[in-house]
Amino acid sequence: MNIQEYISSGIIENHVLGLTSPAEDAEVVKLSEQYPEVRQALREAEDALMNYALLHGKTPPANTKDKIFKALVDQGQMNETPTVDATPGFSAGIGETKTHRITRVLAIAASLLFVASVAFHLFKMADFRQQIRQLEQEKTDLIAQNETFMAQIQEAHQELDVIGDPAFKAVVLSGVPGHDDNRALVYWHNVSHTVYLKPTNLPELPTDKQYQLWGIVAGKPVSAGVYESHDSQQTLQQMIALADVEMFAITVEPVGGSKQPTLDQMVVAGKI
Amino acid sequence: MSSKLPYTESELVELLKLKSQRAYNYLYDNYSAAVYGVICKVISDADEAADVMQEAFIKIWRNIEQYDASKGRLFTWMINIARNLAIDYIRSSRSKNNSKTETLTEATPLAPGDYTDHIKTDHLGLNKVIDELTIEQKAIIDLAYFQGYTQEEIAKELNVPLGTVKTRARAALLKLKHLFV
Repeated sequence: MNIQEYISSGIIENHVLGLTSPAEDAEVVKLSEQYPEVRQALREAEDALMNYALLHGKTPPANTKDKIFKALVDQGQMNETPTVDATPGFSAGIGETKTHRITRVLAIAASLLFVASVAFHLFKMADFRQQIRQLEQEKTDLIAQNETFMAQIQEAHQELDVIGDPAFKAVVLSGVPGHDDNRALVYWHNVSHTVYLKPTNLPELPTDKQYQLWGIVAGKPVSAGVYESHDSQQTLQQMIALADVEMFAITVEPVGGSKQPTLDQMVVAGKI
Repeated sequence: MSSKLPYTESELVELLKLKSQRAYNYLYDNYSAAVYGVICKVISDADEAADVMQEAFIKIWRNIEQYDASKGRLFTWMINIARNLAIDYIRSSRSKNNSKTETLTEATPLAPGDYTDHIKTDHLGLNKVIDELTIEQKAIIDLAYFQGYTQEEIAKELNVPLGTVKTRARAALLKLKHLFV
């Protein structure tokens, strides 16, 4: 077959206009698959006709598109919800706006929930911080209390050691006239001459005064040091060691103590 | 036309066969006017034409699997579906109305200017193209392509020999090719 002759016979043009018989149609298709020239001529004829048809285009009624999509959905030919692949032109009719509305409502609800939960957590966090501060304060207090107890226990041990040691001699210092109720205890080691003082009932002093302990050695007063504590705590305090003591006495002196006892300020005294 | 496509024709066909709603949407946006125009050539009532177009697009979606690219362009296939539905619609409504039981061929012959009356658009491009075509060429295209007449029907309609119909058809297409391609 002469292809050029076939092409110029007019059969392709008649085919695209729908004027050929089914047998001729089949022949055109078959030859267009075999010969690129035939295919080319067929495409050109189709495109020419297509462009002519496009010129005759008329805009269809606006709702036709929605009707088509709705019909396809109703027939189960198409999904109700347009997939991500829907374009803006593909509008209302098949529930796109509804989906958008639901999505928007969900988004707003999620944001509100998020803000609420952030606020709640911030509030809870402030609460926790407050609790942590309280617990830390309590811990500090407990440590301080513990230290106080430890100190007291240590003192008590020390006192027990002193009291329990038979080498220590307890000297009771009784109130001199005018201070009848007052009392103090001195523990004195007759070998090492160590002196401990424990006020058992001495009045509290103003801050510029201190109790000073004196030992009477060979008839003369010798300072055994001042008692440090101002409060009424009856803690045992080690004093200056003194040998050959005949008697102990306590006077009220200015802070730091005096070289000679102020005799009219004597509170308690006791012989060994 | 093809320069405007985000898809090549084969991509579009492939996506349509995968039932891509986006591709279908695209197809509608780009070809509905042409399809509607062809239907309106056959059916003068706008509502009836819209109903037939709806039917045509549904058929295109449902039957896209049957489209065979080796047999021609997608557009040709779509236009054929739309035109055949339109012609079927006219025939069945005519028989329902009992006005004429005859086939389209035997219907009252169209007055000489009748088919050209269909071309009412004052589209500049269209007028320009129509001016380039002879009355005979235009008649052949209208009857064959838009009205779906057979060679024999056209020969009878225009009162010319069958060979003349074939020759005019070729001449008309060559003119269009010259104008567009």
